[in-house]
Amino acid sequence: MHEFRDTVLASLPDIEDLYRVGKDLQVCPYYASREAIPGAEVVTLPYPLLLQKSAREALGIKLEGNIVIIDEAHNIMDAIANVHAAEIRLSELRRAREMLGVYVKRFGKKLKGENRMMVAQVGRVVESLSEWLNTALNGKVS
Amino acid sequence: MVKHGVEWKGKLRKALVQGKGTDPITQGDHGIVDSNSLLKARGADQINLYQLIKYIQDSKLAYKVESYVSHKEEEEAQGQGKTSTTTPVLHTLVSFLSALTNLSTEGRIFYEKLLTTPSDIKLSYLLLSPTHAFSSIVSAARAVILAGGTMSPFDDYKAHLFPMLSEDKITTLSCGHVIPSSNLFVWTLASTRPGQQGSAAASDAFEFSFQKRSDPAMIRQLGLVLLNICSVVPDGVVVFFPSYSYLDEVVAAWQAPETQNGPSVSFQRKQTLWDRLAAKKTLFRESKGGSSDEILQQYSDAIFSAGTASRQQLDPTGRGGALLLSVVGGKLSEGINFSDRLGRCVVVVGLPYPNINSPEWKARIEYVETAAIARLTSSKTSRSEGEGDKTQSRALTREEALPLARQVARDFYENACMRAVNQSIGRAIRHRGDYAAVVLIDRRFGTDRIRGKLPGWIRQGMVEGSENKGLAGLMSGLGSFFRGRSG
Repeated sequence: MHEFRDTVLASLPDIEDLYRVGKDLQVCPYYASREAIPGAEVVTLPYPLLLQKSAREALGIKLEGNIVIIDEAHNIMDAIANVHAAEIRLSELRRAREMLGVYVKRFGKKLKGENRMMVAQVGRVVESLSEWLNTALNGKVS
Repeated sequence: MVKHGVEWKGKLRKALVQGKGTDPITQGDHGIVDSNSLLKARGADQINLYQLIKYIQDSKLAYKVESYVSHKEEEEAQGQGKTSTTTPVLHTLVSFLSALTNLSTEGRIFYEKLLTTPSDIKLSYLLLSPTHAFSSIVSAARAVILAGGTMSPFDDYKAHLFPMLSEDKITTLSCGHVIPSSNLFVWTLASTRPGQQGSAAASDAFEFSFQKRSDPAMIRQLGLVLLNICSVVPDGVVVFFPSYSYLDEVVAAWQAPETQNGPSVSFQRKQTLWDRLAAKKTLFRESKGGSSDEILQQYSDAIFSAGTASRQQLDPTGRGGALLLSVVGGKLSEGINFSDRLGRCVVVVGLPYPNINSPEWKARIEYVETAAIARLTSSKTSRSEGEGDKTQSRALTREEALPLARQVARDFYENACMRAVNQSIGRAIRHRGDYAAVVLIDRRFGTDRIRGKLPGWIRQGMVEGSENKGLAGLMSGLGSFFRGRSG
């Protein structure tokens, strides 16, 4: 890992070079290049990794005191909306409920108090969303 | 736990009081959902979603459930080769719940019935304001640079990305285009006939608004205009339509046999407009499902295999180059170079406004309007980015703010459209020695409002008064622009 980091920081590799270095050193270039982030002066990354706080934290990207350059910035507002967009289907909720059922049937008794409570809450949220969607699907929106 | 629940509820209630959407607007098969009503059943609105999300993530519940269930199913299916490498469904749930925890004033939830069998229905969350999401970047970084080739109109970025910054913290720098102005020819075609076509009253003016765009006479006129353009422009011509559905409609009309006895067609009645276009250029059209790379490759091949097409086009029977019918905001409008011979002329047909009747756009516009009213009526900052009154310092009354807010919302909507147009136009000129003509077909391109939203370099290349000169003016203009140029 350290060797990868040092090799990578000493030169200016592109993504194919990273792959080769990773292969030579028998490390995953994706995870190993994360090691190189703190030492790097310029980090380029795709929109979603920059725009989501959770992604930045996971990658160890610190914006404090740094300059953020957003290229092709005419897309930035749409990109923000896309990153934060979310959707779920009734069929997925049904599947989730079903799976939770199977899971609880097997492990329910083994779960500790807090775990059991939280899993039950997940179930309730899923049921509540499903109920709303079921009603809406049948034409009535409450 | 209970305490947290109360907090969460309090937040929702607050949002309810401020928010519209207490009555979901039902609109057939899609509409806006009141986020509060979603979790009403089973007392789910008492649950602290933040905690729940954290629990699911920390406990890796999604993976546990998913792997156990798929293991179980495999057992039952007795190795019938059922693969389940999809995203765990609980992950989808978590992303959606996270969206629910965003401020309800900043986003909207929509439902949409899906035309699948068995019937299904989908909830989707749309973030209306990027402000909050972007502020963590703006406040943390030392500087934020937004760079782009087509950033105008810029007001939107100011208003929506960093409304909290004062004017003196924002610097804009706009550079001219790298090409000399003689390499650009911009023409607004308001009508085929010369004369004052700027007014809506002109009956034969080009106006590709949703209401008027299906007019068969206008579609035919458009075809004739392209036919003319294709006879003078060498090599590649790219036409951008406002949508796939309109492109389909127009192509279908052009492919249909001519029925009118117009004087200009009488000598060639057996040929459809499509055939006549095909006689000038090899035709390509972007399709919604098709591979854009493939089309682009064929299009380039058609242009480059034609040899020095600029010579061929002098020969009236010779076919030179290719015509690509594409869609604004489509696959070919971004990131692709129509440099040099690939794009000697870019034609934009109409103004590609987003569908204002879609629930998403309704919600967006409503949000921008509400936010603008709030900003204008608050005494703290009364800086407005709309029309005028930058000097006024007192808060406006609601009545005074309303028309301004409407204007801001209208600008927002128009800007979305113009950004897409500008992006499409920008495809043609890619380096210093490049040259291209841009033809904007719609009388609305002649209005100051729209013109003001084109990038400076396009405005500078605009032939003055072109919107009143009709097709004849365009033809002579194009003729002299391309005369003496080659390769």
